[in-house]
Amino acid sequence: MIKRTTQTDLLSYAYNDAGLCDSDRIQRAIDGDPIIMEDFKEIIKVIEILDSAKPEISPESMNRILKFC
Amino acid sequence: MTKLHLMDDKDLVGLYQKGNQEAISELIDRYKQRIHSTIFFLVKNTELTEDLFQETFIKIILSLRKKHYNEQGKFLPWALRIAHNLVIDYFRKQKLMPMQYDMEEFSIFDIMPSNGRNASDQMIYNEKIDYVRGLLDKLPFEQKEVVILRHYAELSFKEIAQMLDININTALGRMHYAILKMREIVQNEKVNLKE
Repeated sequence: MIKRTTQTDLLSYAYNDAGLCDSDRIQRAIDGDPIIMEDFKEIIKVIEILDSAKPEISPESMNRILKFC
Repeated sequence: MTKLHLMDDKDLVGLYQKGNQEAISELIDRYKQRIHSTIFFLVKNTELTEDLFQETFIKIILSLRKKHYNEQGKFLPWALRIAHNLVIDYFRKQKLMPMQYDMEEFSIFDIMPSNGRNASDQMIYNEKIDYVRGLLDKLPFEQKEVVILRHYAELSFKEIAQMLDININTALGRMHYAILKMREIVQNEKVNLKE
């Protein structure tokens, strides 16, 4: 039986959280279906936005922690 | 010379407990960003983030010294649980006591300037942080929590499920709805941070 690719499958795959077998199945589904491909691209777009913000640690915080060690 | 950066967490903990200070520095270095980002996006105040971040590592260090760390567990989920509990405790206390921090509105001026970044780069950095923080704040807390733990703390969905004591499908479902909501917001606002 062919397993359908769900949105949560795409999410797991986008975060490298799907198993090896599932990853292969999901990639084939993405390659073979333009609608799934579009959904996957939309997920990646949101992930890239989240990626764009990397908060910095205050040097004072790091100094205090390292002194405490 | 021992190559600390090649050692796994469990061995670094063991070394620190035998008195090797560099081992704890390596562990801190390995996970500081993920723990800091998690706290940063869960709370709405930079000063509070720094306080909770320091408190988290002080608790971690004290627990390691007292040998309270369970070697069978993984270090990062354990450390994040400490941070998460401190955040939740803070929110609980906040309900009972007057607020110690200004939580009303996050301001881009809360973000500390970074060394070596010029004014223009700093402004872009602040805007990105502000935008993402605003995006996450539009999500229900349960969804926001899963997004932060998956994206910034880099926990697997299985680890998130264990940490929050929920089913893995619930974790995936929350993330899915969060992505849908953020996608909708981004599409509506027609914002493209990559441009």
